[in-house]
Amino acid sequence: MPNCKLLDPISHLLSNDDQNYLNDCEREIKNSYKKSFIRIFSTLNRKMSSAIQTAVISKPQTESTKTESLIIENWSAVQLIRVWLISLIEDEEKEYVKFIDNLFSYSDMHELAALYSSLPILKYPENWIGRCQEGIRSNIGLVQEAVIENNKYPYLYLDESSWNQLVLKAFFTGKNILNIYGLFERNNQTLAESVVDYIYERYSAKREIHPILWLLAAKFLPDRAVGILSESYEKCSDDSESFILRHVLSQYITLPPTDAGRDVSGNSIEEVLKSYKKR
Amino acid sequence: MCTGINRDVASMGEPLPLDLSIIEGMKFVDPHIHMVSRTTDDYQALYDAGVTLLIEPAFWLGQPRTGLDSFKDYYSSLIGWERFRASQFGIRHFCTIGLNSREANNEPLAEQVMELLPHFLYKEGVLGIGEIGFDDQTPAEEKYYRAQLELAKEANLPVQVHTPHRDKTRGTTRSMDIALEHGLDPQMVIIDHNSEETVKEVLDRGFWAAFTIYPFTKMGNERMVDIVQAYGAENIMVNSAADWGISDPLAVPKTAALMLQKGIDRKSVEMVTYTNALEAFKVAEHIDLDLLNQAFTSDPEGKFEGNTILRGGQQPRLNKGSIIIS
Repeated sequence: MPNCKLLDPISHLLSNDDQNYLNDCEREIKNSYKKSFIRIFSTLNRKMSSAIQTAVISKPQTESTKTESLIIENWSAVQLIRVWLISLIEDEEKEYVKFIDNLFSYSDMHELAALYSSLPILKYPENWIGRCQEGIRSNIGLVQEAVIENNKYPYLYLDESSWNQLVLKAFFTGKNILNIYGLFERNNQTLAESVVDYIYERYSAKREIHPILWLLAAKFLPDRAVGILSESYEKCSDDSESFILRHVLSQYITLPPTDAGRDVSGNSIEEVLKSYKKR
Repeated sequence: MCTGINRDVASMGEPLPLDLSIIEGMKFVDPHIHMVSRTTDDYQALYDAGVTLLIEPAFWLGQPRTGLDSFKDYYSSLIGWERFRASQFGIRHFCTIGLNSREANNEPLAEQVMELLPHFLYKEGVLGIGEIGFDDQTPAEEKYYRAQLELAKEANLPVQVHTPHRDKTRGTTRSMDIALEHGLDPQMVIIDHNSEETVKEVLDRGFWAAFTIYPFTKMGNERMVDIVQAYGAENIMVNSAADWGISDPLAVPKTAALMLQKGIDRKSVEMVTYTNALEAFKVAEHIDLDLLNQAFTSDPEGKFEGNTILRGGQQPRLNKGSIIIS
């Protein structure tokens, strides 16, 4: 078994052949990554047993995993092994950056997803800001998800305007918004203004308005937006969404007590979001 | 559900049967369509529905290019193979050439592309510079938007401006501010992908307002009818922006049919779906507009660098009703 905690979530799935192969890979990469890495990285899927090829894994988030760099949720097993392979590369900055940059340039979409997932553990982290921004612009769903969802790198390294692009792009492409790491911590007025613009556009087009938009813009709602929020709240029949809308609306107007049955009373906004995220 | 993001099918309205008989004999221009990602079936459907001329703005390919030569070959295809391919289906193909906003963010490559652009701007079939503008609204996007506006001014060419999906209202206002700052005549600038939120300002400031009829994410054509009813037909045009996504190449003729059905007068419909685009893109400077009234028949013997679509004298129409493909 390759000696690495990173592979723990899939250890039970690795056959003996898988383990032997990965041991060989580790040795080769450590011996000379320049000679072996591209072949190992690209051919990984076909070298693994079918159990690994098809597995999708998550690592439960607990208090003790909070400080870990990676959030492993709905990753393919191959993606996880690729991230592990990347973690084996060691070199001085110039050589390392050149090599990883080339991996990005020549990668297929699954390799790209693995590379973006590995952003938080890449060495010399300031070098990857441009790549991260490019990943947000990607049109390929699994690549976007790898950089936008459950990834700590954007939260840690992106400037405000790139961060805001990430959040807006997530709404536009239907990502699971609450999977954005640091969503509320990095909220800001500029983002809120863009969110309000988006709310107006959705409203004019008679399209539905994602409830989390209201939370992000909560402190900066102009009168027109409060009107739209009020209307949306009146029409909303879903308990959790109604709670979110009410939570924001009550910061602007005094609302009558809620009717029985459409209240999630007693719950905090955090609890409601937790259950909202799960569905 | 209060959510559903972009694909809320229930809010798409009642489907209407497709009956294009109401537009029989009308001619259309689609001033924004990416034919390189469409099939020959689409060309035939466009021709059948009355689209006689289309404009293909240069855009990105769904993923970023990594080298200059792929830009060069793409631009060459817009004035070469794609133009020829359209002609084989009886459709006049024009294009706009430019560095799109997304790829402006790769600055080292963008610099090289800027040097390439002047070689293409004056070619036969090139009507203007496009589609350029803002996407993420980054400093790099602004830099190359400005540089291309200067090119347009120097060459006296119309500009086709893509407006961002995110932060649209502010991005649209900023696009117009910058165009005016560079001294462009608003009548030389087509502001694309408008919405109910942007249309008023665009028209008030004297720019052309284009609307993209694109399912799920942009305008629906019922909303478009409302806009023409509210703002009239002056300075407004519609396009399909059909590309590699789920889009409808017949958006222009379908919208014309819907506008007529909803009681908009024929003259206004013609402006929005035909004459305004010809005027905005100064098509008359490239082709005698009278020629557009004549059938543009394809030459089955036509060849582009030795390649023809109609191989071996094959009938141009595939018999879709037959299981035999011969």
